Amino acid sequence: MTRKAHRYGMVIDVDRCIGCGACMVACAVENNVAPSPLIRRPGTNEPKTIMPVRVERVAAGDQARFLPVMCMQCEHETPCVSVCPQQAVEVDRESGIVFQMPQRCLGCRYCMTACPYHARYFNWGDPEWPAGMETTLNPSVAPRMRGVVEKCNFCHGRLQSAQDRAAASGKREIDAADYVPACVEACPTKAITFGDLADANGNVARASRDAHAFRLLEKLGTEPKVYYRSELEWVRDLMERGGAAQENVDRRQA
Amino acid sequence: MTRRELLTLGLGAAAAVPLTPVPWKLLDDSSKWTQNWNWIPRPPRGEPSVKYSSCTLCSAGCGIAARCVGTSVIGIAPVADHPVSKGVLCPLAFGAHQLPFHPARLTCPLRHGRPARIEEVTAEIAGRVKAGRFAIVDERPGRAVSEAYQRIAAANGGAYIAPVAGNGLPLEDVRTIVSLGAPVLESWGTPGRVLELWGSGRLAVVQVEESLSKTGALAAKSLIVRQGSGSKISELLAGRVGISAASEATGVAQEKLADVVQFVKERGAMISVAGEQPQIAILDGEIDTLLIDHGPLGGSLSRGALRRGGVIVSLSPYRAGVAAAADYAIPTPAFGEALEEAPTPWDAMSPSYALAPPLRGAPAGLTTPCDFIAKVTVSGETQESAIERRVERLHAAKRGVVFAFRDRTVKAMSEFKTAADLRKAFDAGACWTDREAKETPAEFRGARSGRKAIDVPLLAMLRGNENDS
Amino acid sequence: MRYRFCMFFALGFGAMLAAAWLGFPRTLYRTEPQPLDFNHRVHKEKASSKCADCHSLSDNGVFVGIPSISTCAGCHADAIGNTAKEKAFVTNFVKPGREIPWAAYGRQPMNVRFSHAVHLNLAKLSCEACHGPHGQSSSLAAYQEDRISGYSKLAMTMSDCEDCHRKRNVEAGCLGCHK
Repeated sequence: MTRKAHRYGMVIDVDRCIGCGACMVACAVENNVAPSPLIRRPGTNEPKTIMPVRVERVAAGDQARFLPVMCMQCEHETPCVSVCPQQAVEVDRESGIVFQMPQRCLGCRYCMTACPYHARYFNWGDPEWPAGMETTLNPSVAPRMRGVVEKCNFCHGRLQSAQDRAAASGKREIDAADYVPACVEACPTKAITFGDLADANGNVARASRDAHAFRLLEKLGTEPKVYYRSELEWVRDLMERGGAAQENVDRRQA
Repeated sequence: MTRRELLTLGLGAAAAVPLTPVPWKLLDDSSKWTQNWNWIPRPPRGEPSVKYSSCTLCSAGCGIAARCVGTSVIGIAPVADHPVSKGVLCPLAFGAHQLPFHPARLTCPLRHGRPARIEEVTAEIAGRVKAGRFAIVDERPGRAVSEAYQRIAAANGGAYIAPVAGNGLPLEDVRTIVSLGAPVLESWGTPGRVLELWGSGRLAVVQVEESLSKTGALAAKSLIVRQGSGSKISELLAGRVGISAASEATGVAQEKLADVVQFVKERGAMISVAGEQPQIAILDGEIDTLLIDHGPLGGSLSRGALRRGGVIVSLSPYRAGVAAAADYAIPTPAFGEALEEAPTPWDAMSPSYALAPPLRGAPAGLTTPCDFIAKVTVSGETQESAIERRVERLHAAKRGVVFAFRDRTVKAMSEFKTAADLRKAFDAGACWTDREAKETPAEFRGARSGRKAIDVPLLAMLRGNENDS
Repeated sequence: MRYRFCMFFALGFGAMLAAAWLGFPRTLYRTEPQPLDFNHRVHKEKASSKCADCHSLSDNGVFVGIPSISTCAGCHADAIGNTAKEKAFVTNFVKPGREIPWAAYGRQPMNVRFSHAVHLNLAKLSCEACHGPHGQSSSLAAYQEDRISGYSKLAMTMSDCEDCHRKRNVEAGCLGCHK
């Protein structure tokens, strides 16, 4: 009576990313993120806006490359899940998505400290919407109030719509073409490949086994389900060194 | 009853309280109450649907699929297999449905920056038009309404001014694009077309500029040259100057230049593009009234491009750019609120045309720029009649194919029995292309632009700076 | 002395119990009449309607809970009976195409996701399993709204969902029911 256990993941081709930010815009629209100026908290690199996916820039001399960074959907001892006092985040058995429920969160921000990828964002204030713009909100994603943490959920609203569509024709398993997260759909160079890593012969699983594929902060052992890929040695070297040295990773907004 | 007995009564009541639902229900309800403040916005409710249209934020006219709930638009997605946009959208399109609610939205006419009534300003402008010479500035040429503007200008002794039309760039026929400051990889041209060629490796970018841009950082070869010396690189690649002379002029090391020359030569055919701003020359002293149709984004004209030319009437959805400083600002429908057109993109080699049907209703009291200009010039033109004429001409020419967005099917023009059938297809979301055309007819050509013609006012709006030019 | 003490204690105890159990619901809930007194039984018997005729599931998996006026207009474009109530309904709502402002008993918080498609087609539940013999009712139940939380007294809560899932041993992680 239950669905197969999927492991949804991504492979992002860094050589194709042009740093345009279409993924960021589409993500904000899908997840009901209120428009706001890009402000960092004074003295930090921490953004005050919610950016479930953000584009990071890495550079070497005159060359730069861009990496969209979102929740890595860690599989092994998922850091945020293990620290949450409220069980406001859990690893969904059916999809492998690390699902954050802002409505359960009490705002302690322990998970933000635990996340090695800084992929979690805090709602410092109630979201402010210009008059009338609330009619553009997406009903598949619940609006949040202040004081809670949120992050990328791999567009769970789209997964749920795909499940409904499959159920309407009596099917328990979704049609893979129906579940496309906003960032994947938006990317103009198709740099992001999304799919089920549990399908060993699928696009994503095969791409993740590519010789040029790597993951961020691999040595921490969080087993992220988001892979990156680049044929440029300098990019892979930089990521392998873990990005530990701050000067190697330019965290300015692309 | 004694006081002790009264207290005992109270004690009994208090002891009973936990056995009643009151404290538990109140606790539960108050927690719900604290999570349902009335200032937390509620998403719209209604039946979900998808409406097809074209994006009109720049001259590329990419196909869009708008996800709707009831009458509200809640998201934008690209149209796969679109012959012009190739299933791609730039970042702006994804948030475009929120533009009508931008705080800088023009809600009523402004006269010298102060609110005025539409009947009054229409009468005043009509009076000026009748009394002197007018010019219509069309920031989005190539549309059917552009032809209407030309007719209006010709019939009334006025002038029609538009940016120079592009002739198209043969990007499919070259292997390298040498860009003199043009932001080739930053939503430039028709993004789907450019990025498909770049992503597949067919087109390499050599970026020549005075300071490093994002395109330069991504380019195969990047040359940072001294100010004003970019043309020397073109001359070098054309073989008209030697490496040492070029190095002298640009400040780039000779080895680097030699490497680039070799790179371009090995790849084969190249094309050179410059990153110029759209140029519009307004003649001083000859024009009494300037009627500017900025297009759905509120236009890219900078105030500096307009030298004093009489009274400026700016037709725009937003109080940004020229509209913020014009003598008259007339509000027009914003993105997705009224029927628009998507003519041939400036970089395309063959003609194309699509309508951009509205995604939702416009606020009451707004007229389209064409209808307003027709009213003040007292001409019989309307936007609808102009579009009808073009659809009829397209149908009568019997050329090309029509790609329908909803079911992604292609039909030859000859398969449409009447012009009304063609119009119905356009209204449901479709694009006509004529790949066999030897060249694009002049009236179909969109404005030539090195830069995407949307940078200035949109960026100003995003930063909340409405006074930026 | 002790007797009086016990008596007053019991009096207070009993009075509070009565007040809370009988009086509290009356004050907590605000009753609002529905705009129309819809008769399900008549539609079932006279028009042989089944649940799915008006409360339908689309191919996309979207469920229509409360039908729009266009569904009613499908049969009631003009009055088909001869009651004054129906005539008023046609005049006030059908002809001008005005949506009936029903008060929804089942309204859930914004973060709740309930999929009728999954429960109808995969769990193969009948409408009556959750909604009871609502289709046989001759009038609509009174809409009682909690003044503090704003939700209907009849709205299902998470414990109702959990009970059924536990009984049938069906797993649903947080992602299954929340948006």
